[in-house]
Amino acid sequence: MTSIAEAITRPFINSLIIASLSTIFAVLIGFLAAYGVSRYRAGGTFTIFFTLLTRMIPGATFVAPLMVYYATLRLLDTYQALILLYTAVTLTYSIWILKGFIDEVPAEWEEAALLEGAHPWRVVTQVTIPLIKGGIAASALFIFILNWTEFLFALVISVTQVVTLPVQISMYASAVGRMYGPQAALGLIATIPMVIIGYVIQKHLITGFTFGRVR
Amino acid sequence: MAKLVVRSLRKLFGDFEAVKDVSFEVSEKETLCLLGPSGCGKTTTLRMIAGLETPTSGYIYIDDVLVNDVPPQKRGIGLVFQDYAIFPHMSVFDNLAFGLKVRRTPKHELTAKVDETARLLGLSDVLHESAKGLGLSEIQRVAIGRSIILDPKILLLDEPLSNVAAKVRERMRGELKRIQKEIGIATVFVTHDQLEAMVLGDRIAVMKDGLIEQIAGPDEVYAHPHTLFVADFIGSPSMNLIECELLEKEDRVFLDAKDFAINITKFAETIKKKTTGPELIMGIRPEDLSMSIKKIDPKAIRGEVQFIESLGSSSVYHLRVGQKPILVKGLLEVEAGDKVWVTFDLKKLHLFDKKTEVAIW
Amino acid sequence: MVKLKLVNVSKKIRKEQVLRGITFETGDKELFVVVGPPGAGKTTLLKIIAGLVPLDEGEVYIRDELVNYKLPAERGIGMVFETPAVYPNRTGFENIAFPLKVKGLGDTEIRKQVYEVAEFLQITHLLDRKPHTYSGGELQRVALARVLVRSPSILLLDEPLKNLDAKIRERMRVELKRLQREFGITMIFTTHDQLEAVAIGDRIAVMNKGVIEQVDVPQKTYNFPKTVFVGRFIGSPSMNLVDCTLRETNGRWILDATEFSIDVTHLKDQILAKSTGPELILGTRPPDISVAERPLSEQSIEAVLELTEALGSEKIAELRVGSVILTALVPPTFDLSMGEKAYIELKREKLYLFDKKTENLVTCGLT
Repeated sequence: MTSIAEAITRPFINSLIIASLSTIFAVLIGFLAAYGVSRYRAGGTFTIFFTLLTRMIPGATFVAPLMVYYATLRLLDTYQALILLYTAVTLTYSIWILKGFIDEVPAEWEEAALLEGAHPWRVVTQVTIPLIKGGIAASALFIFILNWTEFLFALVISVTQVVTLPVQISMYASAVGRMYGPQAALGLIATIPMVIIGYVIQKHLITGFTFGRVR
Repeated sequence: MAKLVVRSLRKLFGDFEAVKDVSFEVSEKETLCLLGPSGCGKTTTLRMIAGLETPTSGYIYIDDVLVNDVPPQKRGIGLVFQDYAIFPHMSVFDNLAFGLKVRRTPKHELTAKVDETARLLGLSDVLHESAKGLGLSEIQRVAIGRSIILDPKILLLDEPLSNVAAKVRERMRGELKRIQKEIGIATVFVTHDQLEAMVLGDRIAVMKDGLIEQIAGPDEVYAHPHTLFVADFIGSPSMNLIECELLEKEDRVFLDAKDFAINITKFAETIKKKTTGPELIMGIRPEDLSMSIKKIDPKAIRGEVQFIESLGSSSVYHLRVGQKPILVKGLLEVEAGDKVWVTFDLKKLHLFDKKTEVAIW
Repeated sequence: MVKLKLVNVSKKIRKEQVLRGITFETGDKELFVVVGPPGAGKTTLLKIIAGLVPLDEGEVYIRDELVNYKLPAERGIGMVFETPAVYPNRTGFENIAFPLKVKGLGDTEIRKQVYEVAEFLQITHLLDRKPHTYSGGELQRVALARVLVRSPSILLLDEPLKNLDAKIRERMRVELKRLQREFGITMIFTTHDQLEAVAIGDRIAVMNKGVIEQVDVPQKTYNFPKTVFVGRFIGSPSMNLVDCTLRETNGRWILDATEFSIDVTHLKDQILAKSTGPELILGTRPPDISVAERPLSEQSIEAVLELTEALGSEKIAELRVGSVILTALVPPTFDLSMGEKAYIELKREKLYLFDKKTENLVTCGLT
């Protein structure tokens, strides 16, 4: 039996790495995709709805095939496996939420900057992103929570190395009985990061919800 | 008895007093216009009458019933929003019938009412067409139709023509006026466009900073504005307002505006009684000034044309008399830089006390 | 010599021909107004000039240089949009300084230039505040300051006064003109309000459904409209238009408008030369119609007063002649009541004839 500290720190760090990285990737790639869809109508009308469709298929239906893929690619029990999966899955949410916020920024504000000689990248980083900081924050937090609490795939894909918090908590329940103590304690510890993040970015969350639209 | 009575209405939003003390009455068949710049409290007042806002203090009576605590749908009002709010996916018929359907009106009665309202508003031809393909003026009429079909006691309109392009506004204004006369319901509407108010209102309540500065018919507010604000707000182009001083030299009395002076000895006595001091503001409308290239009137004043706004059948000449800018409306063959002679029609001269901003002449 | 020239510019947006064969030229330091109803294509036109939207056909020349392939920033153009490009998350100062930062200017230089423009537009008190505290007019001025700080030689404004209160609009349009004159900039702005266009434009272009119908000084578009659309669009209240047919009876040529007729024998050659058929449209402006209680001459037409609208310094009277309603401008002393009979005189020198099919002007002034 591992020491208590070990029982907590390993899964905690795993969850942190996996959830953070997948969130960052999802938001980054999602923002770029959302911008393309919002400003340039990338993908036409169908592509954007197709991404939504992917979210309507229950995870349980493709756990087995996914396991086979990962096993073949020798990706089982690796960080990459979960990060890749989480990013792909939450990308849909990221695109949809961010697109909504980007739509709120009048295209003319970006055009004005373009006219003034700002490079398109500069326009995005200095005009668009600052204006939707709150939206990005809200989006990131939402996706982080999804990733942090994901259980099914983490359970199947992790074996020993990449065990995440939810999986670890579940290990305290067995055919013999449930160890409520450790489960409760671990559960509490698991909520801490989200509370901290939420607290830190709360100012941005509020600006995100009350986007300063000038009448 | 008046249909709508509003007494001492006051509305606070936190610390901000949007409506300070508003009172007025509207009789049946009368249209009252609440006119004023953005933020003067006109829309808030309308919303209080509708029941969408609760007054901080004051009373609202509809048909002699105190309605302060009555919810909007039970007040017997019809409300037409700025963007008309009709259902685009339904036909005109269904749009008009909506309120009646909600009240479970029997079918034959419903159809009769819809037909009558449609006829009144000139919508009989498009009755069964989808609301999506309608032109703006038709949409406006459907919106009005929806609100009057329930036989409201009062009709309220929030900036009915502000979302409409200028040219179309002209036509819709005339139509709206015609409809108002036919329907004959007590109406209150809100606008920031003084022209709209002049055309559509039987009486106009000019509002500023939560207070009514003057309520009177269009001709009255135009010809006899009570305060500086009303004088400036009504009329396009705005009235010329020039600061001056009451000056007595020998046995003559002048209005001294530094760059020119006007002899008012004849009326001096009446004026002196009403002023709080010698500082006054004189007002004269651009259309009450006349210009000529040669000096015809011995009392004429010299001015230089700065620039000309041509309005088609007449033009607005921006003149400079000494240091003061003066606008004159008329038609004269001159160009920027030319010098002209300007005559004041003393009968149309307005005088305001500089401190109180109230009209004294 | 800063000129803007467009030659045969066309643009299709998703199957709709938004612009068709647009050709015009502006002079140096000119206030050029493009006026037309919503949907005429004005915004698209401006965006093409600015380079924000690619055109399908045609050329755009700025200062005699072809700029079709130049980036917006390279064209030396400033543009003020309908929704003022004032970022809510930055102060007034930061907003105005934005373009200068992009240029890479130093902080002291930026401060100097921003204050210069702010003083000129009288908005120095707004510099430290954020846009959500601004009024509509102040917002426009900050947007203007941001554009002017780059000293562009051509200024494009897309419906700059649209969202302002009526009274403020009146004042701001004179401000715009003053600005244009003092800065010596070639200014092109769009509006749907013909009064605005006519009041301050040096020349105006009347646009309808993607086509420019007439480019002229305002007074000319009022006095000599080239098409029915221009005739009706320019001038408020609108021109009255009555269908009529050209007929010949006993050697005399008559314009038959059912309810009344006008002898035009002396103009028959002109009319026959320019019209495609006998179907014509007669146009007459409200200020050119006089109304009296008694017939003033043989030409007086009998009518019934339907409605009057008081406008302060004058009144609008709507009169019914059979199936036609004519609008006339009458003095404020006019006091006939609704339903009463009245007699109308049309000013002969100010009558317009348009060909019904082509909608082009055939002749004006039927004396």
